[in-house]
Amino acid sequence: MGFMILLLTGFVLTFTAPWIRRRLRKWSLPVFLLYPLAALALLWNISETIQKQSAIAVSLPWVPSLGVNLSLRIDGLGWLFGLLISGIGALVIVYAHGYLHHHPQENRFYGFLFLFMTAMLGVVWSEDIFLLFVFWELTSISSFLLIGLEHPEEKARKAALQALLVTAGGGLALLAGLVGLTLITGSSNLSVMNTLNGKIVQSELYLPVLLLILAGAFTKSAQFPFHFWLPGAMAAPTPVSAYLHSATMVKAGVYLLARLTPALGGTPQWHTLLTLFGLATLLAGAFLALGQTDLKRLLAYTTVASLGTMVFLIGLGDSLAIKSAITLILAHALYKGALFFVAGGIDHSAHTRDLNRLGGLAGTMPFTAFAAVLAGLSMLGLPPALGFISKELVYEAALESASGGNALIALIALSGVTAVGIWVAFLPFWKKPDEQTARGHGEEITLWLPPVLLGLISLGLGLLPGIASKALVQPAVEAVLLKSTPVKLALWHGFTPMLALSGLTLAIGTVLALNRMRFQPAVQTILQTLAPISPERGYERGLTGLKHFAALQTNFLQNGYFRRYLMVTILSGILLVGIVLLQSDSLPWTSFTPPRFYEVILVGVILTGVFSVTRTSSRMVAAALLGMMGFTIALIYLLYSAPDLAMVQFTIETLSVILFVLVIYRLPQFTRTRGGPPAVLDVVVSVAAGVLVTVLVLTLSAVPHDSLVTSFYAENSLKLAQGRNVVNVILVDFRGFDTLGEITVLALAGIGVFALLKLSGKTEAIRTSSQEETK
Amino acid sequence: MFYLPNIVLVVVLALLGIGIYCILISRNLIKIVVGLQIAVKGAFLALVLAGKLASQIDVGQSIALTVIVADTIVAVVALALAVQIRRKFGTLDVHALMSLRR
Repeated sequence: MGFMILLLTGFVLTFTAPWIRRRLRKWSLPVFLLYPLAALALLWNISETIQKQSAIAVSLPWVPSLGVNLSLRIDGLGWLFGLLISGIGALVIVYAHGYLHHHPQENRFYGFLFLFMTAMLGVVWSEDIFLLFVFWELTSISSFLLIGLEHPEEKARKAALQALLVTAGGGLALLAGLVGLTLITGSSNLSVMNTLNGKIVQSELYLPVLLLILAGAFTKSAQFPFHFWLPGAMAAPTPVSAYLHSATMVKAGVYLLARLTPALGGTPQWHTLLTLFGLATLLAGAFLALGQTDLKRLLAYTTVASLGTMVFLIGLGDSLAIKSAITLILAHALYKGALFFVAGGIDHSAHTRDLNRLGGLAGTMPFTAFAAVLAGLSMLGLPPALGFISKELVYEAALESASGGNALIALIALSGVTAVGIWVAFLPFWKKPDEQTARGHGEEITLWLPPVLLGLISLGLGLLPGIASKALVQPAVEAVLLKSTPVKLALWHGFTPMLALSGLTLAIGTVLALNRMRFQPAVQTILQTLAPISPERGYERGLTGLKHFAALQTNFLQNGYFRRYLMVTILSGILLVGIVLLQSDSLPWTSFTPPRFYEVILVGVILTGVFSVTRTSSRMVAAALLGMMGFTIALIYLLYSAPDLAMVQFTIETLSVILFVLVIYRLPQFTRTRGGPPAVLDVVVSVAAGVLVTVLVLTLSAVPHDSLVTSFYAENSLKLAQGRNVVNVILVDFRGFDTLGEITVLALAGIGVFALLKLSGKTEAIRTSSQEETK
Repeated sequence: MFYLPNIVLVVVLALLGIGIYCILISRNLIKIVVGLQIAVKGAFLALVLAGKLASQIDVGQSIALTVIVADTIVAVVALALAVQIRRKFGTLDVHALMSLRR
């Protein structure tokens, strides 16, 4: 229950945080920290349950009619993610207090941040997949808001929109996939689905469902070819990049894949797709990273590479691979978050993030440099950091998988990542400064404390791998695989192929890193040549195409000419109804009854009236003829035993005629605005519309006459409403609210007309008088 | 009770066809309102007739009543707008109102 209250508090904080921040200024920091700390405390509280491989579950009815419940279930995987989200979240709050100080959007930033934190916790704790989906979309929205935080800049707006379109587009696919999954399993509970692997895999919906869910997960986790939104998202302030776009949100896709492994996994399709896309992303990310000089973009592309590795490992799917995936998630969140913090600190101090202009900062920013070394060790995979263990595991899993090519690809890509790690973590601090180098000023505690803490945790977990494996990794692995899997992480395994590969990676990485000036221009040239066929260009083309199409369609459908609007409406109506009519049975022509003479007279009067109205050029005659037609129609109602209708028609018609005359009196004569022969299309459309309605009415007589509505009114009119006049009873009783609404509309229309005629006339008078004065 | 569906159907057809034609070819706002009035009168008749043919007299009539009132509102507002447009733009030609598109 505590978890439910926590999430609700998060939503309250979303709206109150800006206000709290404005009122308390710097004292808002401890208040804001309460939220992630409360989450940590709750998680700590259930740690024993988690160690015993059981889970905490709560459920409240939400939309019972759709079978959607507010069900949360925190198991080992959700617990680990919860720790990362709230732990790094707390550090991000501290960091932001230093980094965003005096930022114009500072207050609302915290609102968005809490929205994200809550949504992300919701994603990893949801038991109901539709609840998960709602939270999933909320993370996309908060990511959009946070990327666009500096909205006066066009770059930020574009990046925000791009991230939203890609992730929310994937979200739509995900929703369809989840609906399909529910159709197959008949449940929206994750733990139920995860027991029905056989049923899901054998269903013919399996492949479409798999593809849709993968589309959702791949867009969110920036897999190739959707990776391009993530570097763009670096337009966000650094705390956001550290939190959303490296440590947590982008791992939501990985989380979902891990979570659904028991339900969807274990098939050749799953295996092939995930490993293929994972490796492609790994390679693409590493290669793209080598061409960058901006610290944040370097980190962003290596994040892409790491996400690819995670997807690849989940695709392998055996217990070793899952173990290494979870370890990598943990290690990556710790070191990448820290390095983003470091990059932000450098930016804050030296006012640049360009590698070519950075150097020698170790002297001015000793603590930041220390944090960078700690995190860098982990990123390079050097002992004793946690990154070393995770890299060994990645190689082990790759070697154990069937093809040896996996390990080779991993070796190439990870060497690139290593080189980037050296650039980001060491170059800005230890490179000899030259004349290009920007000078940095000192550092603030809020900016160096968070990365130092993350680095120390990373180091500590590496030094005490027993704690990491027993407390953090093993429960998560078991939650993914749904079986008991002992996990023993260790720093030293003896001389193994993995160690050799790890060493080789480091060697190649170092060589690459030291020769940056020589090969980076080459990489950039290749990237520029490839730019026209890059996915990002494809996205841009798609967007421009969409805009063109929208403009074209608007110009066609809404070109400003009244005739076009009417034509489109009528033609589509005719088309849609006509198709249905043509498919139905033939018309009951047999029911033709010979007309009586007074009917003929009435009809003749109306027809003469309507023809004369169209011919006349006198406005008064037109109004009078309209009135005459109205009265004649009222007479027809009388023949139809509809006296109420006739009375209303008489009244209304009288009013209309008076009104017309009053209005027309103020307006000019009719002028023939359109000469020449009548347009054929106009004639055809009008005749078709008339015929359509006529045919519709005729068809009705063929409809079976046992409608429930009429008999209900007939029976209950007297019984329930004490009225014998069924039409009246319908209007004032059964449809009383409709009538009330109509009266309201009538009154509002009256007020509107009064305002139209009176008020603006006055302002015009005022304007003319003032104009005269100026003259 | 009288049954006279078919001859009145001719009226429905004529009113709707001519009303819509009138709306389509006119550029004068008042003429458009007149056309609309004609077409809607056809619609009332069609509704009442439909109710009759489908043996749902009361339902058809109660809806027709609602439509009559709604149509009056439309006519009144349209005429008031016409007066205002005449004041503002000095014309009743709907093509002169193209500037409202943006």
